Amino acid sequence: MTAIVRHNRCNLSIEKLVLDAAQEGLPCSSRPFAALGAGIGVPEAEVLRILKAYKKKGVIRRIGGSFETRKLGFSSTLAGMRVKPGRLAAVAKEISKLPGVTHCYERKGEINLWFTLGVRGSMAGVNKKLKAFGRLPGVKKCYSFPVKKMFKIKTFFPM
Amino acid sequence: MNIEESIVRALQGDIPLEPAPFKKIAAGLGLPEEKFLGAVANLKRRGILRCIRAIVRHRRAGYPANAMVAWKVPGVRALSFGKTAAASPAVSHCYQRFTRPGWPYSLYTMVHGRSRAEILKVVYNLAEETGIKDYLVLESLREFKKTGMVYY
Repeated sequence: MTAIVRHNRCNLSIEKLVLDAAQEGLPCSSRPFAALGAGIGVPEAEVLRILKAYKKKGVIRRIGGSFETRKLGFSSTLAGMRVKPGRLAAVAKEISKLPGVTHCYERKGEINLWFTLGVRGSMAGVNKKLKAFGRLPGVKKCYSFPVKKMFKIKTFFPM
Repeated sequence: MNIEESIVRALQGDIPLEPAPFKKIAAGLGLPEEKFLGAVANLKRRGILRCIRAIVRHRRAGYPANAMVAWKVPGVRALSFGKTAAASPAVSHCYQRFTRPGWPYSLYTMVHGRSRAEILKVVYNLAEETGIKDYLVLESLREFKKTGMVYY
């Protein structure tokens, strides 16, 4: 019974099965796409065709490694700022120029600009950068909220 | 440049979509494939490389709504809150972070969903389940930057 249900699901959307599996992770073997396909009953060529199509459509941002930033010798934090509304975009653009800033969002609330900042080396380097950002015109407050404990990192969007 | 550094450099971007992508990357680094794969396995074992996978743009994958929620959780309840939040499939990230004077929120969750209503329901249920009623739903108004980290 299970097999039949699963088979039907494959027929409905092999594409989605492949994308779900690719989000879970690729085996680090010589033929990773063949191995991925073997787990869900899809041939290697089909897996590649589907992933290429999702990449082209922009659904897949990239297929590559996900690293533990800290273990690569980086220190990072989540920063929150209160910025004068008229200066927010300019401040955000200035901050976003730094390669170590990977996420930068305007959000609702008293703290209206949030970004992540990672730099090679100790936390002192992070704090130094933040201090400089805090001096940008229009910045009224600048908080740093480094991680105390990580409970989960798993971005998985079932299709 | 050492081997590990060049591997991180190669894998922080895209791997080629072809049958033997690692063979190609290894060749570009002047390494036999087995040596490359061995070094990758080693990085994985040490927890430096979490995994190699497809990273999707959630908006284009049918999950346009997201919110960062900051929760005011007493220290003694942080662990149980973190575990409960982490168990929810709609929560992609959950961290305990340091608080600051004037900002008592200590737990942060990123919640994704197909609609705003779906997200608010997840948040409401989490509040009910944990008994933590003091929280801020920090919805994003504008995205200025979102990229992967470049290490080298």
